[in-house]
Amino acid sequence: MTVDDLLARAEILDVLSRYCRAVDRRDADLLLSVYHHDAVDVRPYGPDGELRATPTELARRMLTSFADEQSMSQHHLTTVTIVTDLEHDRANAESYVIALHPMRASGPGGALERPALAVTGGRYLDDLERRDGRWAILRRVMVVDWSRADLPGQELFATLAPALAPGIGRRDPSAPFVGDLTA
Amino acid sequence: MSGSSDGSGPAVGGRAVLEARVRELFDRQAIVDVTHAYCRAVDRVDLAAVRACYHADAHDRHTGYAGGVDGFIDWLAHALGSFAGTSHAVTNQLIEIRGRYAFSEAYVTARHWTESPDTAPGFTAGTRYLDHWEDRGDGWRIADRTCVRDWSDAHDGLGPRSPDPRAGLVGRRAPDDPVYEARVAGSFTV
Repeated sequence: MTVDDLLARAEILDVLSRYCRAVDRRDADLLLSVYHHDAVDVRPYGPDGELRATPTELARRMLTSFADEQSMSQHHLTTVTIVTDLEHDRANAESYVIALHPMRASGPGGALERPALAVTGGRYLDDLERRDGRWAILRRVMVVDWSRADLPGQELFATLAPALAPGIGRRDPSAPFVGDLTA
Repeated sequence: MSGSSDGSGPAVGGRAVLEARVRELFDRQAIVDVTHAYCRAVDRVDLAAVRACYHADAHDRHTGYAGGVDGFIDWLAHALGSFAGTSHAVTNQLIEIRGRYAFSEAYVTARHWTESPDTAPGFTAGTRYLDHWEDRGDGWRIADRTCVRDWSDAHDGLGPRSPDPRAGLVGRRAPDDPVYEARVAGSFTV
């Protein structure tokens, strides 16, 4: 590993962390800074099984899908694997995410009788590219590994797109992405 | 980042740039180390080690305390006495460095448990540390810390807002979250 690798990894880690601040603060400008303008973001849920979005669509969805201004989130990143290809200004990253959404009670007869904490564990699989010295995400795929079964996250887990469902060994979406774990 | 295109090493004239950027890697690691050292010190109730994370004239605005570091240590000692144990786990930390000043936002999951969970169940809080750092020649230390709480599963109700005023600052959307004001406050200027 070279010093250039270390520097690139630090910058990429910054990109990943900025994403968390952007979505947790619903900061659309910051979110757009994390992606290249022609990037695509793929989530394993939604009416069509997969939810694809451009950065602009993602920002709009972020601002409207949590309409309750009281709703908050925390996206924690833990285990991060970064594979760089500096010769081509490209990198792949897999980062583990624990996303917490505190949910307020929806009143008598509502979906939630009591306030609850929805917890989802997943991974972001990112293609990153460095353009004019700036690392940003070109493609992000989210894999959901688990969610709290006794909380609303269970519904989400049941509707995951098969191609993006987590799996063992090379059947997992990350295998062709960051390489064979046994290599 | 400033290496030559064939990857064989720094470009001519790029050495000073490279050295500055490597210096930044060291600085970032030192800040991460102190952030982790703080958590470890709190969880082990090593108050001297907690104090060592701060400059002597540092300020801490915690969930239930605001003031100098001496008062903070006293408050912390009292607060930790009501738990059988705590675990402060840092995940993502966004760090910006400007010379000998830095600002960072660290995500922390803080668990607190008691000897008698039936009567005092303890709680877990989703927290962020907003820290101003200074390196005054003897290493990076916290000059100013603001603690923000985004969620808590305290027995008074799961949710992002605790009615207890001692809960301190809570997370908000841009641009009202404390991170935006804290980031441009004090000696750290963008």
